[in-house]
Amino acid sequence: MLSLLVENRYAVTASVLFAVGFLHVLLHPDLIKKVLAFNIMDSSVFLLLASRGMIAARTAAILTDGGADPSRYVNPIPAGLVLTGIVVSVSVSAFSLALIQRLYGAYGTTDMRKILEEMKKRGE
Amino acid sequence: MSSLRKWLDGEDAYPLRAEWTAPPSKKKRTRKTRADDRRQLEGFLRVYAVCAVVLCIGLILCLVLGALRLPAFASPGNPTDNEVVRRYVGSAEAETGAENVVAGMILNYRGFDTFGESCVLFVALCCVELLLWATKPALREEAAASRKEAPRDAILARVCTLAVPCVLVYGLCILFNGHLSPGGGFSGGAVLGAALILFAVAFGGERVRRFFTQRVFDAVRISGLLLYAVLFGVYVYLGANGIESGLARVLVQIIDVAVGLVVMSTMYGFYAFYTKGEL
Amino acid sequence: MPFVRNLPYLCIFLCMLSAILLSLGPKAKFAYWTAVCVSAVCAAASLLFLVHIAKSDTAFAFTMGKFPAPFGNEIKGGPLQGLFATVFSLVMCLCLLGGKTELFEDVDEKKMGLACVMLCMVLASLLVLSYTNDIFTGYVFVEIGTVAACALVMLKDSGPTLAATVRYLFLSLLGSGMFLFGVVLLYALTGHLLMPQLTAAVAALAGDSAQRPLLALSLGLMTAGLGVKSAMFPFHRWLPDAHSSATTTSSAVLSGLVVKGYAVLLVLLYVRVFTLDTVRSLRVNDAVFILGFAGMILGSVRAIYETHIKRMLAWSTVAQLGYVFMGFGLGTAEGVAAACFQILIHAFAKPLLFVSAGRLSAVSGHEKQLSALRGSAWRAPLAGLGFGVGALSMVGIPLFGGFAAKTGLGLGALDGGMKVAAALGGLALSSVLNALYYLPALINLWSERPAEAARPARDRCCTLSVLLLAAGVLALGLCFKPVMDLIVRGLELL
Repeated sequence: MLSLLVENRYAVTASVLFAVGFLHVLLHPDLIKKVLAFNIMDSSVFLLLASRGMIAARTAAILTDGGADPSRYVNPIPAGLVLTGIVVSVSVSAFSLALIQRLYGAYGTTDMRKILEEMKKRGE
Repeated sequence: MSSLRKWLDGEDAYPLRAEWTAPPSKKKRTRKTRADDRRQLEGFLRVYAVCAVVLCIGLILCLVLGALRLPAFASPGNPTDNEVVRRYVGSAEAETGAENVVAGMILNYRGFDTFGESCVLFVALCCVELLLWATKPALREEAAASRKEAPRDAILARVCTLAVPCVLVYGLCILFNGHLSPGGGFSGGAVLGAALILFAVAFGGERVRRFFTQRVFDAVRISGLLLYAVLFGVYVYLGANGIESGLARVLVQIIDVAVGLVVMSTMYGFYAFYTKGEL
Repeated sequence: MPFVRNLPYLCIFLCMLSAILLSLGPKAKFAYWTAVCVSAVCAAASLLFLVHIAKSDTAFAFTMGKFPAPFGNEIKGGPLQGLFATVFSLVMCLCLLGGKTELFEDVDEKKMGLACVMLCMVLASLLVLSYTNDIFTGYVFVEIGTVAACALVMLKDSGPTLAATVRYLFLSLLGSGMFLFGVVLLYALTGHLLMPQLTAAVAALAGDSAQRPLLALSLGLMTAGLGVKSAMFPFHRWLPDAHSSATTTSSAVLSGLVVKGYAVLLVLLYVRVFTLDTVRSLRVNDAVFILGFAGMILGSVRAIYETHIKRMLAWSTVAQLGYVFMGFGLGTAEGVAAACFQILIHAFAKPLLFVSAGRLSAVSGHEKQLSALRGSAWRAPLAGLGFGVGALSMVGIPLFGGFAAKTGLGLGALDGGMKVAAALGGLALSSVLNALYYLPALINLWSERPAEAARPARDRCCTLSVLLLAAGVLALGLCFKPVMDLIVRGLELL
């Protein structure tokens, strides 16, 4: 059991981090913290993805003097997918931060519960 | 029963919704009902928290058990190490002209995904613009109240006169060598964007606006994305219809630069809208 | 390859190109009409494609570039995809027309170009989600759809809409995370991202009892991720706020189209990638059935207590999506076909209701409470009629489209074994519940003819939109058989 855990350490870490991020996006009342939690969640998926591309004793897929021998390089696909994922995650973070900035301007707080209370008080 | 008959006769509102005839007045709200409201909300939040924690524990268990059953880590015989990888590594240089297989893959083989990805960035910048672009005086006031200009720092300015050119050169180097070495449009563009942001932080946004006006910004951003869209669109049309062209071999280098321009202007755009609400 | 087979790809690129160009900040009117024209052109082109592909009775893969699957991206065109694309683009065009007046009131003139960027991007994402043959392309365009849809919610720039947007955004992000995790697990198991290769690999893995839990986990995560985004119970709480606080066009697009895009991707996953037999044997569909059933009942019950007309319609969307998920949950070809029909009919009926409600509230001083809208149908009779058609379709009166969808679901449930009683009982109960809020609302709108003589200003675009949407609802109800045959054939060719 323990050796299995150690062998799959990246996947297990990714799973735990994913759930931690998930819980905080659901539960944390502060919107900025939610953005952080969401980034943790995404990074955990990237960790899993990157670890799946790894193959022992091979190098990154940039063809140098060695020529195009597939048995010398690791899998390039996860690298590309992680890149896509990172760009998506950056865009969404930027969007949510802008949204939070506006909400702060309108209600003077980044705490979702207080925003809801304030909305109720104003009768919106 | 009588109310139902009244409803059928068309005299009264539907019995289940008696409030239709008399909308609830807002003034009746006493302190007691507000306290009740709060208690109800707190109760709901407690139940919600318990549900969320249970859900997450379940999720952790499922994911960890799943993770333990995954194919062995880093072994050459994994299902992911298949003919697709062999083709990418084996013929990327001949088919796309890129020694960096990842660049060749994302910009040519899976170029449509990457186009979508650039569009996500583009949409996100449009969203930020939609939110923070201070077109009305009210918005401008709100923005001014929630932002504080950081004081100009002499040390930072001194360091930046040295650092910014270096960062720029480094970014350009990554950008133009993306098909040969680690890097490419996304990383190069991000570094260039960081250089612009650093410049703006050190010397103020007005200095940037002298050469990077709204018009230049739009031109760089839109022309980068348009170049990508048109070039890739033509490539798809030719490729899908089986028309031979030499486009595949030059695609990666041109698109890499286009992506770099898009990423650079988007990064700076985010910063400018966050700090000033305009470019 | 005949030229007509390039049309799906050309539609997608047209939407994206026009979105890019619209961000240059054109005049508000120009931007609006460009968006209308783009969606109309897409609708016409998709219809042309649909006619061609239905006649030739095939499906084909279109390589996005020089390299075929499994090396390069691909899209796949077939009758079902063509049908979805046609309906989505047409309804998008009609939503734009129907909400025109309110759109120009709610959106800042300088930001209209950006608003149209979002609408074009939503359409592009819907088209790609229908056509895609690559699961990772699906993920990227799910993200585009999510971000653009959030922007649609906040077009009307006010405190409550911002708060609704932020809740919608964060729940959607949870959904994206789960979907991506599912995709990564599937990639780790099979080593492929293109659907044809995935199908073969999944079929091989499904026989191996050691791999089945992982397959189930991956499918479950993807289902949950897409389910969160299309408001599957219990992740539906974001929907009523987001859909009711937005401007009319946004509400119609969000309720009628955006939530459906994710459901269509789910159809591709269930039917093309995993195949229904595997889905049934992994028992994921049972969970979907239960959640769909719960959403169907709960959405209707909550709608009964709403006094705000747009919130009522939004809760009804939760209920109607429950039908779609129940159809998926049956796990049979008939069930999925009925769910597809439900997607189509709801794509017409809900925008019709939102556009009519928007017009009714516009002629009554922008009041949204049902009590304030009493008798408003007399001020805008056509909108009142449109609301009537939509409401009767939702309740499931014969001749209207909703009846056909419910019949299809009932028939599909008959082979469902244990689920027959639950499905039929749920359908009956939910129809009664639908009647309990739609009919009183309709009676309320038409009762007490107001005395005043002044007629409100005409709104030609809205009239056209209501007429065409109502025609769509009636046409789908009357031509139930050919459409259903097309869907069944499309599912076989998927």
